[in-house]
Amino acid sequence: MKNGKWELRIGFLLAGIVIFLAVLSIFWTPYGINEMDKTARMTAPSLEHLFGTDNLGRDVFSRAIVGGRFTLLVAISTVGACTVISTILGLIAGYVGGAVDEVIMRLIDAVNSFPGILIALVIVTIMQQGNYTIVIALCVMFIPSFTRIVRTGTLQYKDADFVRSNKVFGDSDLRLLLVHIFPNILPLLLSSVIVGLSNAILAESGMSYLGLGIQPPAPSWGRMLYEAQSFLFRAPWCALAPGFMIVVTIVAFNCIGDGLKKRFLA
Amino acid sequence: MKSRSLPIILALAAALNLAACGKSSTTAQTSSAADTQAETTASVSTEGAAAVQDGGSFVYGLATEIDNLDPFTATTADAKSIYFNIYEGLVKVQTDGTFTGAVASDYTVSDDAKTYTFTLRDGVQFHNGNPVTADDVLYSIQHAIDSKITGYDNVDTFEKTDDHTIVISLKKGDTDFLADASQAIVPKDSDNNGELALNPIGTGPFAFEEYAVQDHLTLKRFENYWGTPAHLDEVTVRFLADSSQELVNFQSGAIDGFTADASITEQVDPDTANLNVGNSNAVQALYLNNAAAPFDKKEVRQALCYAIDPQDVIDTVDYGYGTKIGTAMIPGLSVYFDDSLTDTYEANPKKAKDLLAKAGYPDGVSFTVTVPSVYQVHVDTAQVLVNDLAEAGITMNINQVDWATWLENVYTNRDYEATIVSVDGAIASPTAFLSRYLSDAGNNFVNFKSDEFDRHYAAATEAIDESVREQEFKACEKVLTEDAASVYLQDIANILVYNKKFNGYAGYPLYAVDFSAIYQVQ
Repeated sequence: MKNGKWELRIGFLLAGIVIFLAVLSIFWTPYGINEMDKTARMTAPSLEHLFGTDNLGRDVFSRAIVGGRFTLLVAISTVGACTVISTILGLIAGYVGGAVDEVIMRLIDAVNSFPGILIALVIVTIMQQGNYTIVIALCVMFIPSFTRIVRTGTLQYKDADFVRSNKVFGDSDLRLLLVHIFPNILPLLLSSVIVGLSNAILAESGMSYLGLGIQPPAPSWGRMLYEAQSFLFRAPWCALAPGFMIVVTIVAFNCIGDGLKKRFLA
Repeated sequence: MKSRSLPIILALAAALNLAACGKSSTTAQTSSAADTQAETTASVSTEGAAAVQDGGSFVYGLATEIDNLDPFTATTADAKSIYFNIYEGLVKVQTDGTFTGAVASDYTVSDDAKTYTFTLRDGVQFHNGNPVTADDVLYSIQHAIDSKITGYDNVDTFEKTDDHTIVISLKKGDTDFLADASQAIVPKDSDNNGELALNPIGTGPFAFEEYAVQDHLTLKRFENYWGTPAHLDEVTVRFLADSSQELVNFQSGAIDGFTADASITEQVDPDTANLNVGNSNAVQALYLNNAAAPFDKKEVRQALCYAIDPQDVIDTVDYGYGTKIGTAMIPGLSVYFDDSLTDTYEANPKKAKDLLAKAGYPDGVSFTVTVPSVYQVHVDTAQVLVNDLAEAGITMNINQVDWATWLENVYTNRDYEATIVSVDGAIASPTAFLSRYLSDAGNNFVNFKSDEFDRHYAAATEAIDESVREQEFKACEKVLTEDAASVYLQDIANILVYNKKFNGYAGYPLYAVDFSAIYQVQ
């Protein structure tokens, strides 16, 4: 039996469900996400409203799956942008070394020395608040860790025999980096990226929970949690629904990340 | 960070009592007249008049930190609602909106409303033990003029004719100056450098005891109060982060009362708490920056009025308890409130579109509304309005900011397109609500300019005849509504929720929490 098989199965199953719902929400939701029914506010979960309704009479299930779309979109674009930038920085730092390495890594250290959420807060404050600011803010927050992973990997393979031999055969530096070194780092990077996704989801929820992320009336899981807190006792389902979705998604991505790591690095 | 709050939320949810709270049996609707506000509505104990027991302490929760306690510089409504207990003016507002003597025992107004003569009450003491003298009053009046308190720019001369008599002469006759005379009287030279902000001294039923910033404020009963002393020994105002904290603290017994919006009727069992339903006596509106495009065009502002149905906001956000207004006046000041203006704009998306086209925006407009995130009621209102406006082809984007940023950018610098807040009146007078729309008013944050308005306002404040005054103020309101200075929504319901161990609370036609009326029930 292969390592990490079960983690991968569970992970892909859960992630599949969440992504299916998110994609489904593009085409269909049971109710409009901003459709307010004054006569049915804070109703408990039922067949009519799967996750109940919130204080403004909006369908929580519809908002939860659309919220998933916003949250996943933020997470994926954050991690995507971050991966590209970190890979470039990490490859250069590791391969060129010397002063260039020093400059890049000390900058990374500087960013890393602040708590991530603080940096994100500062960026959101400086820039105009909006749905895309948060992507940039979270991106800056995640760059240090990804860059380190890529740099370490580059250092590991830079002096490997197969790289040296290819160099002797006259391969350019760029080719060495992209064709010979990078593919070897990829498995490690991939599992980090997947775990990064779940961190990004948590960070997005956190920022939205603080009122700094997605702006209302657009739902995101963090935003929904934030709005639910003022009537937690009266309508707990409003908080439980997005909370549950976050848990499922995080578990899914962590399983996939673990599974990939075990499979490729065991 | 999230990883910490999530387990907390889940744990809380798991510990929840899921039994249906049932719809509260609060039956009273908000009244439009101030005089019915004092009615305690839901669920007053039926055991007849419970015995009044003096003493005890009351802990009041407040979800926003007060800015300061200086009656000459404080700007937040919450600060005013608290220092109402500490300071008194020459006269003091009553629950029915009329004024009676406080520091002054008696007053006379000349026929042309230009000369006000106040007779100082004997034996009124400041909290520091010193008796109130005519010099203290003169200092307070001068300080109010220097601090540009509304109404005091009209003061021509003021003097003491003897140790007990203060005569104030106005530049223009103003029958409304009595309301301005409720501005605090403080000891001579006590506030030259704003010292009162942290160490307030007044003549009210409660004396300031202690202020721990961001934590609590303590008031003690003033034993030498000239009037009926307060029942409670002590009042502690605790500053909490938000309304959910208030509710949790109330249910755990950590606080005895707090002021809440209408959603509380769904969350607190009326059998366990007194719910005093009143108005917040503030004008909630979608305030539009009349100096910024596209709202510099009257048609665009009117289009918004047609696109929005305030009843939607009242029903959805305010659980039907709010009162529709239609203009910048609270229903609590019933004499001056022109309720015929509430139906000026019938919700009509088609008409809104036509007006936009006429103004040169055939494809609709898009704008950003800046909402203070601390007030969930305004954020929720914004979400309802997004729906209403979308039907008329208007796109509204919501930008939440913290309160300090709002004060700075929107209120002070007027750098915004639209905002949703409730604007309160510092004093129970129509001038408190209307003066900010004067073309040259320093607090005219909507940048409204209308010669017609200025003319009616001047006529109103100069009018000697009360009926002319009423008419002119109503004319002012009409200008605001017809020019669509902003989209006036409602006077939000304000509910004082307090423990059944206490009773006696009465509301005012201005945002004030009068602790002196509250007593323990035994």
